[in-house]
Amino acid sequence: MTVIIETVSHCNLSCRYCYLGQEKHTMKIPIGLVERVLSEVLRYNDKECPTEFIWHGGEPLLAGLDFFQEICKIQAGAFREYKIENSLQTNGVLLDGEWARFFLNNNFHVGVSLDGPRDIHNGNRVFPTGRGSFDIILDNVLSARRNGLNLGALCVITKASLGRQADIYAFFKDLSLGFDFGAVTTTAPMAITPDEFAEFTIRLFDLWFTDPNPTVTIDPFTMLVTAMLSSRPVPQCIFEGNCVESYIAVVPDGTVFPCDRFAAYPEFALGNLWRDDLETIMNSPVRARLLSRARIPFFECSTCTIRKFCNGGCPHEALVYNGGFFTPGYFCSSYRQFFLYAIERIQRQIDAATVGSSLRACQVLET
Amino acid sequence: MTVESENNIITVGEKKLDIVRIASPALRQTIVAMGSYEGGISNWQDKTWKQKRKPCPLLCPG
Repeated sequence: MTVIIETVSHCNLSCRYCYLGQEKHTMKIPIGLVERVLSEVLRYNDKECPTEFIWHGGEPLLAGLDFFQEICKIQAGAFREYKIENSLQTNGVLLDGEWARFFLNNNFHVGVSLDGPRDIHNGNRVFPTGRGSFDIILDNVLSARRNGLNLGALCVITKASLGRQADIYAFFKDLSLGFDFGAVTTTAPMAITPDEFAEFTIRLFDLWFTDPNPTVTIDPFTMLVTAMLSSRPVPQCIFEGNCVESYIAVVPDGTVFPCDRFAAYPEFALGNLWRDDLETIMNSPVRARLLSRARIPFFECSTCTIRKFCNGGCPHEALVYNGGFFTPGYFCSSYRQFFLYAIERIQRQIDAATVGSSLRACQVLET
Repeated sequence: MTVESENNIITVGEKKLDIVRIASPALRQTIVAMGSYEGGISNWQDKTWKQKRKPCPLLCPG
């Protein structure tokens, strides 16, 4: 199970696409609630299977280093017999050498939000004064790496990114910084259409796939290869089909949601960990309804050849854009265009490399 | 499914791939990385897949 913890509800940036909007309360999850989360989740989860805690926000570093030191102390104390993994997604503003050494010493997987070259990043990710955050974040990323911390980047694709695939690819490649990317999902003017996202993704894939010296990994692409070779869905929550089965999000007041994307929708609250035990929360009717999404094939997916890779996409995207989650996600056509394009190219090379057989027709899409 | 690597041949399930015949360096690197995973891919299908799976890239709010 993966538990997304909204460590604090506020942030020190005012990104123009932020789905939290301007209404940011300054709440921090109490240590007592974290202890309760650890106790409930670890007891509920399979002891042999690692439980991942994703420390999220707001901006989680605003909780302070002493907060995370306390968390690690608790995990290493009362919960030392459990397999625990910690990940954290930060905007990088506070990521100094002390934080970097802490994350390194405590095996945190750290992702930094970085939208590519300075002009693109600074057009999106700004301080409340409107000043761009690029320079300070790049300095902190480089400093963290000098301290030995291996980071990944998260790049949000907006209108400003369109046509800039080569610049974005070169930027991350120059930094040797592996990255993941996704389309902004707000309806703000910077939002992109499914066709624009498909075009962007395909062009970026081509840059990576044909690069004679690809020194950077791009997660959706490597994940697609692993999915094709392992006959599993693409290993990312939005493609799992049953993400609700393995994710929960906890906000600072103790309310549990299927994912932090649903935290703005009180009707999707599964319960509250101050009041309810996790078993009651996991048996909530809201969760049962969301789980049924994975079992009911949508009409749109019934004849789709890439269904086994995307499983209908993200239920939250479907809810926001289609008004209900028993439909494919908003970017369904983007994924379909990209998967069909990339799978054909990957499969052609796999077939050519298969020992003892001549080139075969693509079989991946037929099963 | 198992992935084993020997003499440029990587076994992926029932398929043996001669990785030097894969033209895309990016694809070649990705497959080699799969093959070099601890425990090969007897563990790949469940354990490694679970380890590699990631939450939504757009979890970044701010």
